[in-house]
Amino acid sequence: MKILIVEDEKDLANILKKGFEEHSFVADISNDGEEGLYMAETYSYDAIILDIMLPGIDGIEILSQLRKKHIDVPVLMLTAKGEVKDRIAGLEKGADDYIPKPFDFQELVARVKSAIRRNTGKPSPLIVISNLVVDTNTHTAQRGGTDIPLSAKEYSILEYLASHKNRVISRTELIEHVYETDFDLDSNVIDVYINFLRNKIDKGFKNKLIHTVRGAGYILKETE
Amino acid sequence: MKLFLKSIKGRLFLWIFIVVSLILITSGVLVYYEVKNVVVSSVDEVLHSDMQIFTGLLHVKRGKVEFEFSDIISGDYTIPLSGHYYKIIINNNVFAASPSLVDNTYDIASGRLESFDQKNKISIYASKGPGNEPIRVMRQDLTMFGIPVTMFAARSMAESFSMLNRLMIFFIFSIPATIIIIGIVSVLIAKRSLSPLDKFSSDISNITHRNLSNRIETLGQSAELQGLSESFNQMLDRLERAFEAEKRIVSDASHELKTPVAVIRSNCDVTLAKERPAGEYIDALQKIRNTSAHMGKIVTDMLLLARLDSGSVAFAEFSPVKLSECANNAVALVNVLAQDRGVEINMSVDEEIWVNGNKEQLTEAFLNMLENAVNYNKANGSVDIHITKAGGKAVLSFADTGSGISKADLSRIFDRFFRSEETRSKAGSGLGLSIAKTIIEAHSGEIKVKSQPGIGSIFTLILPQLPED
Repeated sequence: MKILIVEDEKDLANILKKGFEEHSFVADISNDGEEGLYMAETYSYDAIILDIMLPGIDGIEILSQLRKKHIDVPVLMLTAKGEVKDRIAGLEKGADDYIPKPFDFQELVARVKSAIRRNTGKPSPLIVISNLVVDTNTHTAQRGGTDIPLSAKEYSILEYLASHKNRVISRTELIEHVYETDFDLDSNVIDVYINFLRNKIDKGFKNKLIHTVRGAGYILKETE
Repeated sequence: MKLFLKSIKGRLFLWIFIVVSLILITSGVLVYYEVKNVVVSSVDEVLHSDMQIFTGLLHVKRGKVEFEFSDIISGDYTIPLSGHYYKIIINNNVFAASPSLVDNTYDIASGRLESFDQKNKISIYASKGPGNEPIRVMRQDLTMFGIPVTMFAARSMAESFSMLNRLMIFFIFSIPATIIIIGIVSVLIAKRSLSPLDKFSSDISNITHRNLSNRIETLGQSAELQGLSESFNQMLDRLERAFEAEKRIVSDASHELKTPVAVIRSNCDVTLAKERPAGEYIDALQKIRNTSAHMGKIVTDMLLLARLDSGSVAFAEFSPVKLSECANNAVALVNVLAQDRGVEINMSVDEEIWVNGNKEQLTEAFLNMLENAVNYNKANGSVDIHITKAGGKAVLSFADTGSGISKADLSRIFDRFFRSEETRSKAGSGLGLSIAKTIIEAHSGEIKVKSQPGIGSIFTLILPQLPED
């Protein structure tokens, strides 16, 4: 999962990025409003953490611009303004959640995950495909009741595919959602990770779940 | 009732009531007596001419006094109790009397003596006539043909008095009625002309801190109230601005404090989430230390500002302060920082200037100016402090070789928590210039700034100097 953190306080943005990365997220940072808006409009994110008090354009304005352009990415407002009035204003403009500073980091992660789940229409943190279970809370996967050890990147790719199961995901989309934006990467890396995942998930099972769609990408689905 | 008389309405009514009553009653009384005078003196004139006629009718014929008969003494004088009477007494005997008297021995001059004319021996009496009617009687004593003659002429006053009575009755009823009507009208007028005041007061009482942007309607008001409303609205403008500024400061302060708390908290949360190599703990602790130091600076500055705002810079406690001494102290305090950054501080003093003020606070103000000048200077730059006099005032300037301030930011640099894009990343509370400004203004001074981006800024502090004696 890839998130954008728009926060002018660099120390805060950096520690959030570090923390989210340790939760298998990929995070881009923007320290001012205009850049933040540009990034949110240009790249595809699974969620945006948006500070309200920003130099340039403020968070509320960024949010309403995004919603005006029908960019429906989940937005979590992060702000020092804790007044109920401000929180309502944020939610009315289309924010998915409102987190007053200072916050508990684990709670922030949980709320980001929950916002993403709600957005993809999957209220449960467990994604089940046949006998494969992906737990987006603990970042673990099981197949047939057996834990599958996964590296952080492998898990990220699996989670993205599982969150969009039964849909073909291109290599580019996968890269966009599991790597930082300015990460210059050969899309073959994805093929390598897909191979690792196949070995761990499908090996030894009769019904394969990860499929290659020639010329399009990959799909995670049950075979009939 | 007590309340009514305390109100403007009540007082207006009371004054109008008293004044109108006094005027009407006095003029009623004056008119009554004036009319009475006119009536009485016209009767007296008639009696005078009667008397002359009667005198002219007295003759001596063949050694005998005779009262000539004439048309003049016929008519009314012959009708009994007609109110026209005369009587002539010679040698204490009734010589002639009008038949209207009925009984010619009736003493018509038995009443009160009203006036007496010594020279002409004329007296006037207010008396009762034979028909018990009020009469006015003129008596003249004269000597005719060597014989003492006393003549009386009288006229009834019944008609005149009844006219005067009617006048009095008219006044007795009309004056109180007029007073009551004027009283009611004055209350109504007062009520009507003061009714905008009630609206005004309810308008004012409806304004609270929640709707401080509401204003009182000034259009269509009377001139006095319009002035009042306008002044009131101006006061509301000032209040609203102060209130908004206060609100913004609280909101800014909460942002300025909550964000570093969030940084500290998140560093702790993330770092403690799992076992890490020692280096990462050190990094996190460094971040936390720096952030809390920054917070500490903000808290100190905020508390200082709050103290300044609450008026602790008391003019009464001011004493003569030597400007160069404050400046020297400030330089000493900022020296380590300046050496770290390789910034050179020069000071030139044209002449020693004393001002009336608080030494510590002036030093604080200068220190804030100097810290900015050093912090935002270029490496190996300089700060020039210049103390001089201009236009009878003390002038102290800080010129730096820093990055300068953009035009857009220039008007906002004294705002609390304002930090330009360039200075955001650096340490600082965003309150230093606000503190300096508050202190200088409490000393009846002002701060001016000139800046050229890329070249540097000059901050000039102007203070009233202490008169030399």
